[in-house]
Amino acid sequence: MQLSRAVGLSVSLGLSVLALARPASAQIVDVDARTTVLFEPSSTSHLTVITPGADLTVQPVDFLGLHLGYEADVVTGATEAVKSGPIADVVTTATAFDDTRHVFKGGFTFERSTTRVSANYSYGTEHDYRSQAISVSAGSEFFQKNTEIEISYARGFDKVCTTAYTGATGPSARTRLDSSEGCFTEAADRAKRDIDVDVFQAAWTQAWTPVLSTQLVLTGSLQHGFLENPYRGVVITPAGLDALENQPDNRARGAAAVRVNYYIKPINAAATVGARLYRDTWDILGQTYEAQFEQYVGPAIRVLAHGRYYTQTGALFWSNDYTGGEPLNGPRGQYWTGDRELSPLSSVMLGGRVLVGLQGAPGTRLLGAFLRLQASGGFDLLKTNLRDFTWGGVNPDDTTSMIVSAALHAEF
Amino acid sequence: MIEHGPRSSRRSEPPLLPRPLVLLSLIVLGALASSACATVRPEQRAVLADPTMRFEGEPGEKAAREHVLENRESSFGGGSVRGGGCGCN
Repeated sequence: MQLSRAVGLSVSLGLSVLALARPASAQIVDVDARTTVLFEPSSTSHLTVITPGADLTVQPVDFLGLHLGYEADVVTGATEAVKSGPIADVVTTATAFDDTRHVFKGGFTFERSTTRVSANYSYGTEHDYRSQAISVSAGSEFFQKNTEIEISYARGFDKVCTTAYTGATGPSARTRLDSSEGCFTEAADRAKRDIDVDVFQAAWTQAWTPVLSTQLVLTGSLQHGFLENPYRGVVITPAGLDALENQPDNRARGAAAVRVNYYIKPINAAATVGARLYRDTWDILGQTYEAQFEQYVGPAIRVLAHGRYYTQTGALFWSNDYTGGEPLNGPRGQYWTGDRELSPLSSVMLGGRVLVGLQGAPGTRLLGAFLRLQASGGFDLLKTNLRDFTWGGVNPDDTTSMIVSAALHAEF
Repeated sequence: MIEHGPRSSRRSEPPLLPRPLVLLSLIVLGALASSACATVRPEQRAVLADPTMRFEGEPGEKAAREHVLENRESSFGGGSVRGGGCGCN
């Protein structure tokens, strides 16, 4: 039901945007419509996320681009709400849930011969979460356009629904949400809490030879506010009593990524390798290694294959069981979490995509309307290895994700 | 030989910046300085402007993948951005 509704929504969205996008003669209009379906099979806590989206870009004059976009996340599944380790004799059952997130986006780009400035705004809403974000970026090219520097800043103003505990309520007495009912209303048992996010980024792209380019990206981010999952409880006493997750209110994050692109002319293919290092003040160290190969199969078809390996350490306060006599005032005594993303883990992703792109001959349009038409379909498989995380001593079985995607791009 | 005693336990003054950060900064500065020597002329940029050589790839596809990954791991940032030029003069 959810699946057919989301696919219907996606198709009608794409058709509506295409219908609206009849251009004036001097304009260039870009339309992107896409759908991604993520499926995580599990005997107890399966998850399906369908993400339809569409973007429209209008270029009324050659130096200005105006953007509008919409995206939804239609989520259905089941999850265990209370995290326990192997010591406490607590068995939790998965609770079914469904929700839809809507995100609306808009922005503009000014572009001159070597300089580009853009600003964007997005608003997201779902039953238990509201988000607003603004972002600005500026980029410039130097040395015959062989060097490009771009800096950007984004600020997020989010609000999350929780139970109505006050500052006087000790962390171990705070309770988790059992549903989103009453969220963002005047209900006495609900409250909303802030999450502020600042993201700074700088990127340097360099063309070294006619077939070799590199990119260095540095990112810094600050998060402040309620960083827990309001639905998740953690068993913190041997008797099985649980409390709402309790994580630090601040988190500073930094990442550095390097990528190398090389074009192999004899076989009309591009190879990319990349690595990223990540570090944050919760003591998580993450490493990502990626490789990608994309080849032309004829002038209109491109085939891409990619692989990715990721590994991270756990947060300083991470434990699979908080009832095992941890020190009262240590990191694991002060904070507790049931978030598997904060546990030591590694993952492998393999995938591919086929893209067909058609372009009209100079002065002509495809089907009498399109300057360019492009369609693509892809599949990714993500396998996560949770080194430490268990549900009451039992390894989770929802660690394989399958992602199917389809996209249509048209330029008028 | 492993030394024990006062000499081995003596602590040196901590550096102002961690050594890996200093090394990384030097590498980046050196590469930036040498970037002006890269001379790919505009007429040689056809391959660099090819869609397969764009770091950001197909933006919608990349964003969807990053959205999935950000919900399944702690790392954040360092995503590929537009760059490499359009090949136009």
